[in-house]
Amino acid sequence: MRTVEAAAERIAPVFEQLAGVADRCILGPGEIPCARTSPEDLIDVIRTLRDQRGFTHLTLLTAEELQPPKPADGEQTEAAPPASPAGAREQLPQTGLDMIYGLTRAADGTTIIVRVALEDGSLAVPTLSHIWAGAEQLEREVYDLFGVHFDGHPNLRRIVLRDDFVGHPLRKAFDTNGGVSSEAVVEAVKSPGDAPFEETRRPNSPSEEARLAGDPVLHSERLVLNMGPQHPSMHGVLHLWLALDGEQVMASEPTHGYLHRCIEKLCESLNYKACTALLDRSDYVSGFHTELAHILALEELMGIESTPKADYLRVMLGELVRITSHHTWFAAAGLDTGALTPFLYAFIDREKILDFFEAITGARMMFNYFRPGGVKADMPAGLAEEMKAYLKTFDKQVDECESLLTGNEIFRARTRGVGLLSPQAVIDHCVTGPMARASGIDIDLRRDEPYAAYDRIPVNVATAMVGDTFDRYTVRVAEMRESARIALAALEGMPEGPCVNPDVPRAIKPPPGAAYRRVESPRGELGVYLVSDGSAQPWRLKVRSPAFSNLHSAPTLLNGGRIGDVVAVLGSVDVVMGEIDR
Amino acid sequence: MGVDDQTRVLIAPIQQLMDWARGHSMWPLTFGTACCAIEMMCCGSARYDTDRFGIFFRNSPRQADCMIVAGTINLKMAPRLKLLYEQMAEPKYVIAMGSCAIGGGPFSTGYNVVNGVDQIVPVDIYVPGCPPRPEALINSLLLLMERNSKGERSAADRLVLEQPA
Amino acid sequence: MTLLKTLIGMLALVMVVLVNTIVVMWCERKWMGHMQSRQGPMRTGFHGALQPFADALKLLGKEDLVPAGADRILYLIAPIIAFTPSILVYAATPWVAAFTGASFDVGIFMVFAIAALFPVGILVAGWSSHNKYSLIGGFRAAAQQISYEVPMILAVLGVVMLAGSMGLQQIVEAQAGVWNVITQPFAFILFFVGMLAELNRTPFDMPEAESELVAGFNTEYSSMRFALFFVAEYMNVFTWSLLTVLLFLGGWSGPLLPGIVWLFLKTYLLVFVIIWVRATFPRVRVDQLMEIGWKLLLPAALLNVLITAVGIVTNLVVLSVLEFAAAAALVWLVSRLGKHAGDRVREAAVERHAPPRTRAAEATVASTETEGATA
Repeated sequence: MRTVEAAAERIAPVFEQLAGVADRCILGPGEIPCARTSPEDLIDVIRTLRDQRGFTHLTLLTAEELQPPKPADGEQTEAAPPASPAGAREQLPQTGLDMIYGLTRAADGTTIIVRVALEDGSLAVPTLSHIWAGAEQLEREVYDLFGVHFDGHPNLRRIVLRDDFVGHPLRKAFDTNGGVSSEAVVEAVKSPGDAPFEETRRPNSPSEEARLAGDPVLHSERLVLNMGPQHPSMHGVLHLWLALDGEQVMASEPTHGYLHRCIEKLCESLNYKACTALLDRSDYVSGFHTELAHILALEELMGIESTPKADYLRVMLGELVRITSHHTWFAAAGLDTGALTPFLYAFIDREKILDFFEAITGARMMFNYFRPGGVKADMPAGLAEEMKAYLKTFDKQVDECESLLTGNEIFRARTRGVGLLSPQAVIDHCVTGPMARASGIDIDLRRDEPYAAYDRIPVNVATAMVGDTFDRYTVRVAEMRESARIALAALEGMPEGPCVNPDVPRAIKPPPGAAYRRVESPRGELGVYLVSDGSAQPWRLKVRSPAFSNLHSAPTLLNGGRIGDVVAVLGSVDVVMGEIDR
Repeated sequence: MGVDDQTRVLIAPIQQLMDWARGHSMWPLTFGTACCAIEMMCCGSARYDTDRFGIFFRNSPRQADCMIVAGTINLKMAPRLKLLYEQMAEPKYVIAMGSCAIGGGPFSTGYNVVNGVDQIVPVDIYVPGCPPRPEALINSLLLLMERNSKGERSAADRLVLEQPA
Repeated sequence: MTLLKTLIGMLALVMVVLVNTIVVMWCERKWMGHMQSRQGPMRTGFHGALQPFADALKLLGKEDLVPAGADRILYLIAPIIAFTPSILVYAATPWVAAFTGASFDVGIFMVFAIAALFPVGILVAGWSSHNKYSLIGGFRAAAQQISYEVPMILAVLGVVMLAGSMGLQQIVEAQAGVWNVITQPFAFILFFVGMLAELNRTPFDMPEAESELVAGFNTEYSSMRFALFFVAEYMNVFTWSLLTVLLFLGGWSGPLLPGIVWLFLKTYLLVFVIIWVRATFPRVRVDQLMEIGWKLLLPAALLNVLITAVGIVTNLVVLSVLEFAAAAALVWLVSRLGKHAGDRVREAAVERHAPPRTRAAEATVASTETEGATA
């Protein structure tokens, strides 16, 4: 069990080394240390942390508008200038804006938050895209939603919103006017909203430019294929831009934002409990995990603990929903390679687990079940026995599903040695979850940073060495079996007692501060960065989406492959667009 | 319209046959955007098996009879929705599945969400729920097929026909 | 009078073929449904028997779209080019001893010649649609056609050598004693694999490849033109099953039951296998398809000709033993190639990657660093 003191001891030398470029600051009641620096020193600080201190994993990259100072503190507040119009760019919010970087040391799971205050009126900060390739897309998102400019960024354009969108919606000054008017919809339908790639897309490297240029001897051109957003294998509304030479993929780039549903902004106007309802819908195939990350952060802010029984219930449901999520992936993995039956086999089992969810939470997918201090309600009587009986036979069902693909010669030929992701690329692209584990990076938050009841239930982490499509397949199948085992262990070890902590106040108003909590979702490290201003609504709620980073590692996997590989590899990335776009 | 009685006598059996065919074969477009798409997938799974009713998902809009808008449509997706609808061959139908497609659902106050796909395409059937259960979606498809077998027109046709001259 | 008889015969033949096509369509949805623990069509007619009729009629009543930018004339005639050879093949196909469309001495040759036109229709459709998915699908069809026609014809060469004739009637009659599948199992396997590719069926459904190319060459087709492609595809399934029966499974020969019943029984057995394959296998990749065709099937088909020649100069028992051995070797080889596909790439990747990053190893690195900094 880690304690606050031990964590402080571990981090102390880091701050000693950072002295002069960064100051220590308080993030919130949690144990995550925080360093404050300026845009000029940012690269220094990040380099020191990454290269000398082993903080190689970029877990969080976002921005946060600062809260207005409280008049009650007796401080002098200047007369507020008129609110900036919705379309204002370049203008600093009157209270200031902080960039938030979260870095994790893989060795001991220590996370440090680096805050960069943008107070000089320019809203610019140096880019980290040359340190982590994955930061490029994360910074584009911050640019899109906050209007922060990243100096030296190779490709700074909007990523989730339309190119002709006016304003940066996560600024507090941005007025949503209660939704989109029908006139705006009529206007939006007239044009595609994002300029064709051929015109705006700049090649990322000279080698890519050469590959894009076509064959000089044959005077050939590249065939540009836009897969999606409506395409049977694009897992929802992903849009994949491909430059093809015959069947071969020369360059590729994923585009998304076709499912951006303003969840982070909407949460700022909802009370804490209501946020879980929207967060369920962000990662819609494993709703429990986003809920749980939010509730854990909220509990940390409020300083309350959940009951032991609720901890076990959280673990059990989290693992079951991981199985259903992997079922959906398994179905897609089959369909993407052209096999029809895995979909039907996997969904037979998935339906059985959905029945359990329905009995416990009342919903098949949108659970809204976790509460601060516990869960909404106890399990129905007698269900536990039924679930145990089911989970004991679960391995056989996985065997049945596996018999369709694992040993199949064609499936093996399609997946083995295809879509290789090297361990270095995993770190560069901030990839987490089964994808990272398949490449030999042994990270799993359930074991490394135990939450809920994972400190009481051992987790065997499945890893593989090569990092190709087949390894990602085997890792996920092994995870399905392991999840069933953990869920069974949670059911059998479930203590008696109340399902919700009776000390939790009715009105959820956490004291001001910030918390960042992460859980291991089926796609990887899913975090919620929650900032409270003392009111009943969160000041800022940021979801760290694992699929976002995983998806943007896709070009390294796809380039050089064939069209057939594109869908097979994308299937193995297991993207959920709701979580990527939010 | 300008069809005389004789022609009508000739056409009637053919019309009945076509209505029967449209009432027994429905190929929806696989157009899933969000959470509802997962429930739409479930419709094709072994437990719900839409194939029993002659409902068979097609990937190409050209060959689809109806578009199930399964999920939230935002401003970036809206032009694509319109384009896909226009690519479908007549007669075509639209089912708005779930709260988001009906009226924006829980995201209706967002800055980027279309509050109801009927602002973009004419909708035949609304299926409430967030997300609707597969049974509800199958019911809506059966309702659509029942309407077809009675020779009722699609929402798109009615829009054209009911327009004041 | 002869003309009238010919016309009635033609019409009857077309009706028989069309009815069987519809039965194959129904079989596919029904049998595949049951293989996937579903029911398949149930609502339209008895156990969905009228489902294909309803689908076809509905397609008839849909709007016939020609996409903007399409090569209009080619676009409109492509389905006809694809459909015609499917039915023209029956001109040379014998059903029972007494009923043959037209008895050619070169029946099998003619069948292959006509069937080779089918991919032309697909290529034209893909080219004229003004759609990139269609275009890729069309090119795939052309490439696939060239790669698989050759080993298929070479596989049939063994059968022709045994029968001493290219007439389908004579080939069936030559199997009166022992079916070709016993004396030519190797050729049968090669022919069946080639046939799946010829039919664009899983695992070789590259031109349509739903998960990659939306609907492949027919992405832009709607209404009756799409129905023509659809019908042609299933008609081909029936046609090639029938031809396989004639070439390898003794045609209409069989005890007790009348010949025509045996013919249909055997044909639908093969249809079942084709559907079974579809319900089981994933799709191969396009470069793998080429490799299988040129590097595996073609040499194997040449080997088959050699074995058959050896068999003819010795005796049929030797031939049968040699053929079974070759077939077993082929199956073993394919299985081994498939199981170990990508091994070399994987091994190279493991070597290239850094040594495994275990938590313990990293922890020591980090702790020494920490100590160093503190000191």
